[in-house]
Amino acid sequence: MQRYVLGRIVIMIPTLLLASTVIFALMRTAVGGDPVLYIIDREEAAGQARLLRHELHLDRPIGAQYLDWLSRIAIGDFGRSFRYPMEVRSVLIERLPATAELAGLATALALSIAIPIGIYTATVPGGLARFAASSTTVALCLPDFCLAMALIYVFSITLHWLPSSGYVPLHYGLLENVSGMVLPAVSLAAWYAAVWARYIRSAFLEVRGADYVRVARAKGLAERAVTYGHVLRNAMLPTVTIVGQNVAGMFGGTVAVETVFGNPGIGRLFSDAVLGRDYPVIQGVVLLLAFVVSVSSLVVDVCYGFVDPRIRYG
Amino acid sequence: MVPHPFWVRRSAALLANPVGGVALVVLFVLFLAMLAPRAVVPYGSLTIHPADSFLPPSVAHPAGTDALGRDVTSELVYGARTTLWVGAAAILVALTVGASAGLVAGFWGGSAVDELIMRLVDVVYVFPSIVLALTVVAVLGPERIGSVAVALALGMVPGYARLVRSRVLSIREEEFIAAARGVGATTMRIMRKHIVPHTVDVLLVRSVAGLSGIILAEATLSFLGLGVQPPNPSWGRMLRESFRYLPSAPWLTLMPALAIFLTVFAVGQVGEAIRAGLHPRTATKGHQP
Repeated sequence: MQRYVLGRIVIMIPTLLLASTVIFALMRTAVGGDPVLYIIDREEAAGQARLLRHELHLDRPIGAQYLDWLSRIAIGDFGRSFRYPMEVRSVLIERLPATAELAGLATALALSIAIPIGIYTATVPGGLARFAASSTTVALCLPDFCLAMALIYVFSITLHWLPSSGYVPLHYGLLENVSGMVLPAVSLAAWYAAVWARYIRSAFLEVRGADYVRVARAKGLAERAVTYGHVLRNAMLPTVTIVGQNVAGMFGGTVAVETVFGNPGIGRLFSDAVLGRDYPVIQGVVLLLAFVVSVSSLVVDVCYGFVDPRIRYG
Repeated sequence: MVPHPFWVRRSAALLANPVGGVALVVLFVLFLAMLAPRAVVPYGSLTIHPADSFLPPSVAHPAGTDALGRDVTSELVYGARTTLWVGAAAILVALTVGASAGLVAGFWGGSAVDELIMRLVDVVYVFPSIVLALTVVAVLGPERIGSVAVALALGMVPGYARLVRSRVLSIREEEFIAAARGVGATTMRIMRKHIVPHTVDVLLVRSVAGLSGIILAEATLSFLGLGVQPPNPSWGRMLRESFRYLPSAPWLTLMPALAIFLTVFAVGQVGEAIRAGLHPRTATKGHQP
């Protein structure tokens, strides 16, 4: 097991290195914008631009810039933002809690919706199950930011129940924090809940026909015991994979929702950085997200070993 | 397997119900909007009428008017055109690049080329798709509509590559490939005549399902201000602009959202019918995100 995990980490490194190279090359050969011109805004201030380029080390050879950047990354230094007077690392650390909380709440919410719906639509035939299945179809067709705006219209503008924007950090009060998080979390969770419910349903239907389920029934187990002890456990296996991948992706998927609600998270930081061509921040966020995705796929693989006793890593 | 010609009839039969009918009508209107917007819109152009700003939906303006007095229905129709062209272009790019990469990787499976292609594919997978799209748009510059299509396509390339690779890996072991080789068919001929036709069905299903995802992603990019740029109309950007008028003019938000929803829904229904028509025995599976 330890050897397997170590091996996986060793494989992760070249992928991340390649990813960082791709991003670095992509950003620096960009025809989309010279970062200096986005800061200075005036072509005629050529001398000033040259000075700023020198100050930001943008006048050094590209290979040297990359190696310089990479060796700094290795010691946890992501460089300085072009636009904020801050280290990228501090910006990331400052923005991470809001996104982590949003993704965590959305995951919990989506799972608590998806598991019952998935099981229900797979086991109980009838009108209600059909309605639940159609609801998942509807949720899959609606972009998260559209749902966000609809929720704001109903619960903030019309009913005045919940705030439409503003993030209150947890240490200022649980109630204020949660009331600001409800609408963003629901907006983000709906799509994932629908996807996961469908996965659980199809996994459930697939497992239900397996021989060991028939054996469990044949030896006289109660339907409940069959459903939860035999079918559910095995049906959760493929679901663990998809949930793990999606939760990692959710960190990046918060971009639109955080923009609508004005949450100061990673997603909004990223869209602001892209709009302003703030290369160090873009690189920092992308690398952080790539890291989160890689680590979570590792965690998913390791979890598999616990959920499925048939899998043993050498 | 090579699609059996009856799949079209089977797919059509699956759409012969009220929901399928709605989907087909929506797609027909969209198709019309794409080819001849003039035939659909009540107002020929997007000219501004400041005096008529913020009119709620009425007979004259079925979707109301916006801050500049433009007819929202017309904007929606022209936006449909943008959405569908960008979506079709993105699918075409992703299909071409991804399927070719998957074909090469699968045909020479286990070789260094295969290893290289799959490593590159893994790298793309490491980035959340919307983050990847935003980064690429920033690099290529959203001013050109083509770069939005390319950015959206990139995230789909790995999916196509893996799909085609796994299909090719199993097909190249079939006896008819060995037979073709035995009678002296060249590599190109084997690929063209004996392998590519066997990937058509999975590619078709993936492309239609992918179109829904592309439309949602394009709307998100445009909503963030990094998708389709003015003067090209876009549903996502209509939502971006209407957001601040949400309290006073909710229809400006509702209408484009409804357009996105109906389009994605219609494409999804048709895609599901095509999938079920091609593979009548497989059970309904959830959408691949």
